[in-house]
Amino acid sequence: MSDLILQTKGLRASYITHLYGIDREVKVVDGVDLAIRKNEFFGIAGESGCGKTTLLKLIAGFCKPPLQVQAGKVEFLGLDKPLSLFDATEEELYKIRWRNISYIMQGSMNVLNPVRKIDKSFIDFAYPHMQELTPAQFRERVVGHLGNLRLSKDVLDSYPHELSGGMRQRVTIGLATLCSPEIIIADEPTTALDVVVQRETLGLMKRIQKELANTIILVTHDLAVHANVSDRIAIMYAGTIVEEGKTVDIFDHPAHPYTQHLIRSLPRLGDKEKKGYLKGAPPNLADPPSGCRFHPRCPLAIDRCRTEVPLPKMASSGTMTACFLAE
Amino acid sequence: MSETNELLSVRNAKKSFRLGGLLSTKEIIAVNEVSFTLFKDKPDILSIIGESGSGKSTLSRLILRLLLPDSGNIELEGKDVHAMKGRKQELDYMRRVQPIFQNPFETFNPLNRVDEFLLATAKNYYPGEKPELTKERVEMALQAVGLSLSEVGGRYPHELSGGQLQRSSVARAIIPNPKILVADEPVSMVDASLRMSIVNLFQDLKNKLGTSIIYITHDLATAYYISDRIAIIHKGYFVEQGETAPILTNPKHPYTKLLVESTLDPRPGATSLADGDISTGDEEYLAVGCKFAARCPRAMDICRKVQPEETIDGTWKVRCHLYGGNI
Ligand SMILES: Nc1ncnc2c1ncn2[C@@H]1O[C@H](COP(=O)(O)OP(=O)(O)O)[C@@H](O)[C@H]1O
Ligand SMILES: Nc1ncnc2c1ncn2[C@@H]1O[C@H](COP(=O)(O)OP(=O)(O)O)[C@@H](O)[C@H]1O
Ligand code: SF4
Ligand code: SF4
Ligand SMILES: [Mg+2]
Ligand SMILES: [Mg+2]
Repeated sequence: MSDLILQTKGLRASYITHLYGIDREVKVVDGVDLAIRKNEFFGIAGESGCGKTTLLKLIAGFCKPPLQVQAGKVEFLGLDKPLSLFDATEEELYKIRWRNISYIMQGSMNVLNPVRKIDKSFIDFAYPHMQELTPAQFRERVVGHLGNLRLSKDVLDSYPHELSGGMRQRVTIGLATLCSPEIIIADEPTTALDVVVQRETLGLMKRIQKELANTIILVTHDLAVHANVSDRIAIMYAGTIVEEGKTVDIFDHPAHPYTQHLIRSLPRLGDKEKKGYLKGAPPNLADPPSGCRFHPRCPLAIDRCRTEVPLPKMASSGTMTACFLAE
Repeated sequence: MSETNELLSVRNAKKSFRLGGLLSTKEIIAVNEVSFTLFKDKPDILSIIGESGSGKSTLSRLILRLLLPDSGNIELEGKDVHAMKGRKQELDYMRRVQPIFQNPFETFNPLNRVDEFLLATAKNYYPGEKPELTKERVEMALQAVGLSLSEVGGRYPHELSGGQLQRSSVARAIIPNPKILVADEPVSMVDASLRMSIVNLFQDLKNKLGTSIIYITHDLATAYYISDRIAIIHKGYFVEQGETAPILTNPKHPYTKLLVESTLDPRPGATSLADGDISTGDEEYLAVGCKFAARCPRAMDICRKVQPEETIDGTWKVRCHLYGGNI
């Protein structure tokens, strides 16, 4: 029995658009191999525009034009046999959504239907997947579940705008966790929240993950969040995973120059030491740099980096690192 | 009294809004009895910190003359800013106090080239000047933010990276050589790495050009990193203000303590993630007595009846019944 719940192999995908007769290909995910385990909090970090949201869409099996998969696959391993999400039928995908894999989209706390009360949103989204329950049982289940998330049942009779941002985010977490799925995918769930509510929401997600002993895949650019919730982290740069490993190893001995920079520049209460920042901008994925995609901004780049693509290998720090200099 | 050392003084500023439309009788005082001073002989970065919905933007709009206070006054070099009338006085004010917006896309019109917009801004402040001189002003402003006309020349906002655009928006603000920048959550929407480049830029502007900066944020880590002074705002009141480092390492007010505890330490597992009670929204504004009492672990009877006065405890100001010998 494998301890994996989901894996991607050689995943490559692009946005392909035809605008004014010009074909444009944006290579957003370029050779991503991930092996995500049961019962873990898995983090994905990287600057905005590096492809995090796109990768999550693919992991959740959402792939429609202009996004196109060019190579590789995503396999869900929580059923009797592996299910390849890009080969699955619509029906197979429908069956696993919510029950096996749920997806909290970026900004989803703001897309709750403004003219439907919260209980209606639960009925719209979750009830179709829980048809074995009567409406009354369903409501009872929702009320109990919200109670566990410290939301009173009055919330069900409210409209989204009557709730604070933190409460709305709790509602979307409630929706995503109602069916106790094996995988919960969350895209920047706390980025729009301020400090106090952010900590409460992360505490909630951590507790849910422990209670359900399932897998949460959390995307955020904010490494301070990963430091406190993720068991393992993948660092993404321009569509590729440049380093992956246990959170402690990534923070204590980052091996990739990009990770090193990210960790070193983190501000911390009580620390006034001058922090550097990375010069230059993230690359244009319609025309990514040759060789190592990080080379134009890498302070350590050598000739080889401009022409050859570094493959991930185990560094002495215990992290998988895609850099020629990592040892 | 004509030669005052006070650059900006805010005295007992107060601004209220009616909740839920004109006919409603419920009123909140979004900014209440707020006082602080910036001095001419000592450029400062003053951070104003609080959760969303605590009155930060209202205060910044009062300073920027976009809102009229109900009472109290705001003086710039000894002159009431709200008494400045007419184009000349207005321009004179804008030469000295400039805003920086949260979203740089608000600064720039998507249909206009960035360099043309900057040149038009310079012309507006220095009418009738030779074109070469205007160009030089823009070039100097861009250089101060680490850019140049050759980099942004001929480009539209969407053709610049997020970092370049936010820098260009700072460049726009410093064209008239202002004495004060009012930056309302300038980094809330940007990545960690870009965030550091912007706050480093603020520090450079203060050190090299002597610009004072009012830095409004809910991010305590960057506030600690760059600011000399800090004011914690809760539901309209400054509840604690003074020098940044001692306050954030040893906060007195229970609300400041909550903010400090909630700030994520970017070291693995360093923050305890209590899955605590949900924080409240506008209701706190309506509370009688101390507005924080409902969430305060140390609340006493008097707190629910009497609004605490600001007192000096040790070297800084705090507004809480636990201090000042009231009990
Ligand atoms: N629908 C789309 N069509 C074309 N390009 C897109 C689309 N969505 C995203 N992109 C591009 O793909 C890249 C990665 O975007 P995204 O996955 O959203 O990154 P992240 O979540 O890390 O910010 C960006 O350069 C973005 O401009
Ligand atoms: N123009 C307005 N009309 C009515 N209420 C307002 C207005 N502007 C702000 N408020 C209210 O004032 C309070 C403080 O808002 P704001 O100053 O925007 O806080 P912050 O910037 O700290 O989030 C909030 O309750 C908000 O709803
Ligand atoms: S491979 Fe070369 S350019 Fe890429 S991160 Fe390593 S040293 Fe830098
Ligand atoms: S005045 Fe009372 S309720 Fe308010 S912060 Fe102080 S102790 Fe807490
Ligand atoms: Mg995204
Ligand atoms: Mg605001």
